[in-house]
Parts: sequence; C-alpha cells; structure tokens
Amino acid sequence: MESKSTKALKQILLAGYAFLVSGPLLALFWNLAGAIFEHTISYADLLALFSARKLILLLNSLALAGSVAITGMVLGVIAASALWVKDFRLARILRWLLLATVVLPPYLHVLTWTSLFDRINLFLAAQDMPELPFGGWLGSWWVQSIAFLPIAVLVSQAGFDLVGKELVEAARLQRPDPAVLKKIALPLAAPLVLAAGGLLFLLSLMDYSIPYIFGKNVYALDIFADFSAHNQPGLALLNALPLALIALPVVLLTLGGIRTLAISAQRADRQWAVSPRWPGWLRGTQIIVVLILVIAALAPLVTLIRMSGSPGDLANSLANGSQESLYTLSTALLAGLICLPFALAAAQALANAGRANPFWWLLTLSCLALPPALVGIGQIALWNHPLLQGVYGHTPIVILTDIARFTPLAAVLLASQERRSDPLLRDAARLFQKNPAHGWLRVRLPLLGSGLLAAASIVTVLSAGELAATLIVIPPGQATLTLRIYNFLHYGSPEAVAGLSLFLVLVVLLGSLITLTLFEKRSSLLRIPVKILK
Amino acid sequence: MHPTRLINPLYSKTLLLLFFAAILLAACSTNKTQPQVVIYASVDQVYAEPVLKHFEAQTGIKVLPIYDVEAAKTTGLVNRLLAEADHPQADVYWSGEFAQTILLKQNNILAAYQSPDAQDIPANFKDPQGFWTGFGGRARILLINSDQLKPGEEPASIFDLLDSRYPADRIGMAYPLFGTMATHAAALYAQSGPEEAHAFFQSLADRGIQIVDGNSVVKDRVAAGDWLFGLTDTDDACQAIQRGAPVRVIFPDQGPGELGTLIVPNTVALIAAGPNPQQGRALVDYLLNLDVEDQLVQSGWSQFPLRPVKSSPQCYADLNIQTMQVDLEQVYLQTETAKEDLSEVFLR
Repeated sequence: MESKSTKALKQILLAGYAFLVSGPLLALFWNLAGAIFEHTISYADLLALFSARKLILLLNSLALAGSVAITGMVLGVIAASALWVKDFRLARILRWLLLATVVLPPYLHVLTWTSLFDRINLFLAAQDMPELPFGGWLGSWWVQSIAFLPIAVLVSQAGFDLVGKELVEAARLQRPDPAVLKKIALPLAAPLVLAAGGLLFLLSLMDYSIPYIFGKNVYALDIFADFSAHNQPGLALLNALPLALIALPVVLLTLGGIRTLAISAQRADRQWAVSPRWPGWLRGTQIIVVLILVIAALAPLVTLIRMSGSPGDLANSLANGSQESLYTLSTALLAGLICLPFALAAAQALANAGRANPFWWLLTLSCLALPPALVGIGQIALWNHPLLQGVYGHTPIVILTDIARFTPLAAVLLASQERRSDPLLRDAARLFQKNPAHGWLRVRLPLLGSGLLAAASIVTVLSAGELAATLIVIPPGQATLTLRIYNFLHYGSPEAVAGLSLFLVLVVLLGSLITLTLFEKRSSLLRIPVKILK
Repeated sequence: MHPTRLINPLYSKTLLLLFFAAILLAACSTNKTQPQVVIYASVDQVYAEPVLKHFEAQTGIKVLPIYDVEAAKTTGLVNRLLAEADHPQADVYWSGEFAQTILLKQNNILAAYQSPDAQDIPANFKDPQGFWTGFGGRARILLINSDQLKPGEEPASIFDLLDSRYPADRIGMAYPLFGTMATHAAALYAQSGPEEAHAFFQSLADRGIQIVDGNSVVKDRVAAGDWLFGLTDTDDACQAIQRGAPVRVIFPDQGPGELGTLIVPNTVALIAAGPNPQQGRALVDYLLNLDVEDQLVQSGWSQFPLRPVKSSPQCYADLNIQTMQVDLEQVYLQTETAKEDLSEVFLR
C-alpha cells in the first residue's frame, strides 16, 4: 500500500504533467474560441477545411506517412531481429550512433542521400546500366524513412528485449529457430513494433521540410502556408485538426499495443544462449538491412566531415558557436532531467488499466500531434504575463517548451518500462525500506534506471535539435546551436553548417557514451541483488 | 548486508550532478548589469550581427537580438510579436522586407517614431505616420547561368518564365508563399490586378516550372548549371558571383512601359510599449544612419541604398535601372489575397 504522501506527490506530478504538456494546446483552443466569438474566423474559413485541394494534400500526407511507417517497421523488425540475438558491442554502438543522427537538420539527410544516389547513378551510367530513380515522392519517402529509422530500430529493439527468455527457450526445444521467431518472438514484440510504426507515422505526417525540399506538397506545409497568410494561431489549430483527427485513431490503434504490453509484460533477461540458425534468405536480408543502418548512421557524418573544410575552418565554426553550444547543452540537459518525474507519473497513469487510462493516452497523443510552431505560440499565451517574467523572456521558457514538446514521448517510453520492473524487487523494497524515499532511491530508481536514462537521452537529443518552437520562445540575446545552423544554412555557408552540425552530433555521441557507461555499470551492479532476492 | 544496499546509488548522484551542472551552465549565460535593447531581426544573422555589435561598441548598450530563420518561412518572429502584443518583449523590429512590418503596424504592434536620421529617406519608403522606415534595398532579379545561355538568348522579363524557348524543368523560382518571393507576388497583384497576376502564376504552374525551397536554392541551382535561369534576390545572386560561379544578373522588365524591377527595402520599426523605449529609439536612429546603410552595401546585404552612400554595391557595376513603381501599403494589402490565392495554385 502506498502512503498518503506518496499518493499526493503522484497526483501533484500528474497534474503538473497535464499542465505542462497540454497548457499550450488549451491556450490555442482559448485563442480559437476567442477568434470564433469575435468573428475573425468565418464560416468560409471553416468550409475551406473541406476543400478538394486540402483533401488531396491530406491523402498525399497519409500515403507518405503510411509508407514511411511501414518501411520503418519492416526495416526496424529486421534490424532488431539481427541485433537482438547477440549482445555484441557493434549493435550498441550502432544504436547510439543512430540516435545521434536524429539531431541533424533534414536538409543534411537530403544532401547526403542525393549525393550518394548521384554517385551510384554515375557508376551505373558508366556501366551502361539504367539509373536508379531518386527524387519527388520517392526521394521524400526514402529520406524520411532513413531520417526516422533510428527511432524505429530503437523502439523495435525494445520490443524484442521484452520477449521472455523462458518462452523462447521452451519454444526452441519444440520448433526450429525461424518458427520461434515467427510464432513467439514476433507476436510478442509486435506491440512495440507497431508503436514504432505509429510514432513514425506521426513524425512523417508533421514533417513538411523533406517533401518540400523534393518539391512535393503535404498537408503540414499547407498549415504553415495558411499560418503565414493569416497569422492566426486559432485558425492554424483549426487547420491542424483534420490531420490530428486522422492521425490520432491510427496512432491510438498502434500504440494500443503498448498498453497491452505494459500491463502484461514480464521481465526479460538475455535471450538466445545458443546462436540461432536462420535460413539463408533471412540472414541475407538481415545483413542488407544492417548495412543500410550502418550507411544511415555513417553517411551523414562522412558528408559533414567532407563539407566542414579544413581543420582551421572547423575550429573557426566551433569557436563561433561555442556560446550557443553551451546554451543548447544546458537547456537540453535540463529539459531531459526535469521532465523525468512528470513523465514517470504520466507513465504510471498510462500503464495502469484504470478508468482514467484512455484520458491520459488521448492527452499524451494530442500533445504529440501538435505542430511545433503552435506549441511555441501556445507557450507565449500561457507564460507571457507580467507576474511570470522570470520564466518568459528567460531560459526557463526554453526548457518548459522542450518539456511540453517531448515529455509525452518520454511518458510513452517509460510506460512500457514501468511494468517491466520486477514486482519481486518492488515488493522486497516495500518490506525493507526505512521510508518511501529510501525505497525509491535505493530500489525503484535503479530499477527504472535504464528507462529513465533512455527517456532523458531521447528528450535531451530531441531538445538539442528543436527549431520551430524554440524560435518562438528563445529569450532575447540567446540562440541554440540548431538556430545558428539554420541561419548559416540560409546564408549558404556549407562549411559552417557542417562544422556546427558535426559538433552537435559529437556532443550527442559524448552524452550517449556517458549514458552507455552508466547503463553498463548499473546493469552489472543490479544483477547481484536480483540474484539474492530471487 | 541489506540486499538493496548493494545497488550503488550512482544514478541519483549522477543525475543530481548533471542537473546542477546544467543549471550552472544556463546561469553563466546571463548578465544584466548593462542598459540593454531587444531587437527581433528578420535579416540574415551574418549581415545583421556585425551592425549590432558595432552599435554595442559605440553606445555601450547591450543588444539582445533574436534572428529569424528561413526554415520558419517568415512566420516565426512576426507571429511571436503578434502573440506578445499584450506584454511586448522586443523594442525594435528589423525586417529584410516591408509587408510583414506593415502587417505589424495594422495590428497595433508598432509605435510611431520619426527618426531624425531618416529625414533624407524618400517619402515613398517611409510610413507617413512614422510607424516604420525603409532603408537599404535589395532587388528581385533574374539570375542567368552564363555557360548555358549566350548573349541574345537571355530572358529580359519575368514573363519570359512563360517563354517556351526555355524548358520548364530548367527554370524556376521559390514558392511564392514565403519570404521576398511572396512580397514579389503581392507586388504583381498590386501592380497588375489580382486577375492578371493570378493568370500569370497559374500559367507558370500549368507550365510546370520548378518551384523550390527559397531564393538561396534558386541561386544554387542556377550556379550549378541545373537551371538556365531563376528568379531570386540580388544578395543571393551576389554570393554566387563572389564564389566565381558562371552566373550573370539581369534586371527584368527594363523596356519602355514595362513593369520595372521590384526593389524590396529593409524596414525598421519601434515596438509599442517595448521594455526599453529610450534604447530602442537609439537603435532605430543608429540603423537609419547613412553609415549603416553604407555598411550594409559593403557587406553585400543591400545593393540598392535608398540614399547616396560612399561605397559601391558589390557585384553590380551599373544600378541605373527602371524600378517597379508600386505603393508599399498597396503591396501589403494584396499579401493575404496573393498568399491564399497562390496556395490554391501551388500547394496541390
């Protein structure tokens, strides 16, 4: 039984979560209500939401997002199945390398893959072979799939990690390995694989930058164009609603898997004591997909190194961006750490099968589906008040905005981790603890440690790369590294863009390395009490 | 030994350490002892930053800037100013064009201020009530790849984008929904009337000319020889020229009775009820000083100063051209119509 103070603390954190992540959305709805009341939004504006043109854009967006999600799931499953069977170092390095590429501006992914395909086509042309088509929708699909692939692989890997050792070992006695993969592992990992698909679907639906560079129009660009023409946040929210109304059921359907899993999952240890025997076609496919992953992780880095010019140019870029680097690092890190208690409280609400559970899922996913620029505008409405000038206009607003944008993601990740922690250890902690805080610090926190670190890392990485909402709320006189990169991007200074991007990736890699080291230490320390308690 | 004691509380210590380190880092980046002024600048940081640093050095007033980025498609800072209307954070707004500044005036975001340094700026580049002032203009031009188009083959008008001599997949412009291309479109709506302008853009869309992500991409495509020519700004063109790309600039529509070339001035305005009005006025005065206009010409940001300056514009020898005679307020009034209209044409 939980004490009253623990319950109260949880309720406060849960209320804090609701306020921090849904505050901007509520502020925008307030703006929309005001605009309708004052007739600045007319019936014609409402009718325009249902025009044939918008419908076609919506269908384009859905087709692109669907194909990106399916590609991500297929590649994610194959890669995760290849990396799952062995706990080899390359797999872990690749995992963090992929995570580091998440912070790169979409432009750099486009540049990398366009130049790679150009080279391949030059080679093919020299051999009198037909060229590979690249560009338009095909280019948009491929680059988005690759840009979001790290998320698909990481979440799918988490799915495979959840498959119980006992089930796998028992099945291997009865059936050949491919059948175990098909009948046991895949169905058990499916909820998180589907969740990866849902997240990719959402990310693709919200992104206009990659299709825009390839000259293709999607619904998210129309929201932006409309916002640019009318400058009315309420109207922009109204424009975003059809996208959200279609996205939410799809994402709820896929993320529904996490709920089932979160409620039923067992603790998992290492699997595959004896290496599996895969059929040749599967092994071949796995090798190809892992190669794609390696290229996806290394190609942008190679492009950046080539673009960054001489070591002198690189040093110059880094020196010029040092202040922004410090600022980015500190705000992103604070966002990654501060969001944890709120995300954990929300994760418990998401994982519990209570009556309020659908409400928390709806709230979490609605906030994830809000266009970033609108989050920024909502934050201004929420925080720009004379009494809150210590927050707005200063660094806290940047941290709060990162928290508003990415805590829902951390909550979703922690929801699965929450029920994975061994109930035996939790019960033991309740028996032996001097007080709830003691039990929390000594048992619950270390048990949730890997999930907390993963959530903090992802929020930190995404915060470091955030642009659209940060621009709206950044305090005067400050800039993040991403803002500076985008400034140089427009000016057409590839050396500076490459130098700063490389630095951003290195910072993320360094952070990942520290996280990985902590994780390794914790895992080895955790095994001892686990054995004693069992 | 108590079993749970074997778990090293490494996490809690590390997390606490990281937390305080991050707070320390964030705290180190603030200093509020000097008088200060806040400026929102929708101007490329590489051009605006040296000007603002010079102001700091000259006056001792600390400048706290926020720069827009092109990826925000000009919606960033203007929407921020609109959202902050009740409690403004900025003192000064400096834009690379004028339509967004006039939009801010219409929404009561700006304060009237007639700077003594703006007396010699032509009246058609100033708001009659002093809500904004223009300076340091740029022009909308055709950038030609000189390896691909020989003299005599070159286009002379923006309407040559419809000429079948030039393959549609080798000419282009930026989306007319954002940035100076949107301003150019609104100017055509104001000058030729909405029907005629709509028909022109519809013909461009039907013809299938290339539409890309921003003026700098237009420059890159022409410089690389992928395109024969494209519509862009003089500052972007100047970058290509300075890098030695095989490009040439054509000022469009110079014949008798033709439209002329659109000049897009920078604009500066004081924000109503900004936190530092005195310093704000000082910065507006500084930006409108002839020396700054000269500095912007030297840096390559402006090619059409609105007043005679000492320096010659980089990249351009003869700037004695016929300019488009269009009222800036009229252009602003067409902006929303043009954007709505062109969304229908180009976002399909």
